[in-house]
Amino acid sequence: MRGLVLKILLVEDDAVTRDYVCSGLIGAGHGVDSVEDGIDGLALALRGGHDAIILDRMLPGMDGLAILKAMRAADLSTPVLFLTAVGGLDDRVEGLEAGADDYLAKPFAFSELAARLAAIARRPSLVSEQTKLVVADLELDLIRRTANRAGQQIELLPKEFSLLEYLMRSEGRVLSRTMLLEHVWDFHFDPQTSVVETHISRLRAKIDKPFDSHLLHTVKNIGYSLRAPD
Amino acid sequence: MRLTEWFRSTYFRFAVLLAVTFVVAYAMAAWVALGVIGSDLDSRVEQAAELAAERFEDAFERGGEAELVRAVETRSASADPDDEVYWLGRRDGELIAGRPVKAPLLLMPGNVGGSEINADTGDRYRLATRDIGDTRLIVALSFEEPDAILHSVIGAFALASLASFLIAGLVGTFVGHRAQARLDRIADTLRRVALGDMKARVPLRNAHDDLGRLSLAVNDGLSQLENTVDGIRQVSTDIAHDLRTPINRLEITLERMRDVTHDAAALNGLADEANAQAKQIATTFDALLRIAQIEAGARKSRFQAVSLAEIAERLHEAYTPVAEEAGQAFEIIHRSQAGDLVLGDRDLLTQLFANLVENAIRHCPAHATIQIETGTGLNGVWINVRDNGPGIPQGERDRVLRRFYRVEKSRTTPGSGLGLALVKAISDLHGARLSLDDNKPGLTVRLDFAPFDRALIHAS
Repeated sequence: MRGLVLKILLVEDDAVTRDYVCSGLIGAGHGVDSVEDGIDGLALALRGGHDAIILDRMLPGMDGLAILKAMRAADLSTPVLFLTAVGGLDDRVEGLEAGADDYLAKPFAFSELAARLAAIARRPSLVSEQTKLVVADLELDLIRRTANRAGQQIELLPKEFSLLEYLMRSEGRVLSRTMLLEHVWDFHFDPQTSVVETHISRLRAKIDKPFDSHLLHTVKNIGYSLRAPD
Repeated sequence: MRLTEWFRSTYFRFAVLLAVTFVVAYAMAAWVALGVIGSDLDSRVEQAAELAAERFEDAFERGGEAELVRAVETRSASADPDDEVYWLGRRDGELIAGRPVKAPLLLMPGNVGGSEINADTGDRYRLATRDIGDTRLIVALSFEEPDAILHSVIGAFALASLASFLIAGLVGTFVGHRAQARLDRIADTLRRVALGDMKARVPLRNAHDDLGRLSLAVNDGLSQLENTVDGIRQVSTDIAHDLRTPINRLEITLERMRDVTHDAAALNGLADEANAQAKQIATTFDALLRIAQIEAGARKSRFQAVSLAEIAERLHEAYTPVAEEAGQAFEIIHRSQAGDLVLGDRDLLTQLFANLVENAIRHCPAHATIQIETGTGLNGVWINVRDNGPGIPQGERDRVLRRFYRVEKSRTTPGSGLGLALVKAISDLHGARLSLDDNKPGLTVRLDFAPFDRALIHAS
């Protein structure tokens, strides 16, 4: 999140969560508008000027899903991160169907929220049809499905390729374990074994170990990040 | 049962209604029959009166007034005056032959009462009159016989009505009483259940009639209810039990943080620890809520065609490195190429099989082999997760599907004890058959799903 300053609208009725998220975002240097009521939330959202909106599912006045639908109906395309209640099995699907860009189940860690927010806020509005991803001396050919670093061919399994592609597309950003699980494996639950860790360590053995500088970094308690050496 | 309750009971009302219906039906039948029979008998009397008058006219034709007078006298003498009355007289009312009547000149053909012709019976009479020569003839025939027949017919109907009323009432009451007694037993059973006796069941004697089927249905429902209540009771106890420990640990960790406020590094470490402990509690709750939501079945509305082979393939890709890190082999076997679709929720099914695979990985030692196998058979689509690890003793295989139940040996390995309960809940939601078997050695978990097309018909 270095260097990236976002203007964020937070619509959340629970004071503790609101303060927690607010102070976290402000601490990270972002600007925050925060409201607790659904109707105020929609009014502020429609005024525009936000880089991302954090929307709670259950709100007084007007619920999050209705706000989201109203926003999308008004052609407002500001990225929305939808907050759902614990175990809200259908909330995720409903939220995504209504036009949310991502969702997060409560209770959540701020780091997870921040990682997801960065991912959706910086999502380019036009999908650029890149055929090759490059980070430092690491190259990923999306057409031929091949990878090489410093001119050296690297053999990757299909899932390792998807994992690396996602990391490279999100260069410099932290991707949480859950984001990787959802994006790479389409797993919407919390595995009890080290699926992500194992794949990351295998990927690391292929793209980092044989080389001098490391690109794939572990961000403690949050996730992973791929970036060029400083 | 008290008398007032008895009067209010459906069956008593039914018996009374039945009896009243019988009586009304009889009364209507009697009314119609009497009308038909009555008019038939009346017309016979009318014809007989006319016939008698004609005979006397014939006598006059044959032998003039003398013959007529003789005929009337002979007939009048031999007749029972209560049944037949003959009067022959002059036009001025003077009696020539037969019996005197009150006002012969005023009598017109038709029906009259007995007093009009000096009869002392209360019967009706039919009059036929003729003017023959200088005389006037009056023939009066009694309706006594048809009236007597009608009376006995009415009596018969009345008796039959009474008998049917009594029989219908008695049989209705008897049958009703028995049915009522059975209904009362059902009501009693439900009352006992309401008071907390979850084991109460309706006694079954005759299971083939409607009340028998009702009793069976009630008993089935009660069994389900008992299971559910047991489940809820079990869960509440388990939650209290299984969450106490982690909450306790969290309390201790937070308490310890007080002692190290001066040491930032130690404080940080403890904060991480507390965070992890809180997360574990949240995870357990999350899993419980998920299970409860899945059991509530709301998710069924999102069911669509899901390929089990595709899920197996994804899991194989995801978990092969994990198994290899643990020194285990993870194999995938497809027994059929196509037609492995089931009607379901892809995310939940993925989680179901991921749980099974993770269980195998976590509970098996190094060098174990884990297999995921899909196939189609006549009865539908099946998927197997097999390992050659320690397995689950036969007696515990049912119990491991319950929330928080953990095989004694695995108490020390990490896990919430909810994995298999979730598997069971998802499997039930999909109407799949879940079976745990001995893989000799190891564990086989098999799920049988209805084929997609059949499930679709079932769902609609």
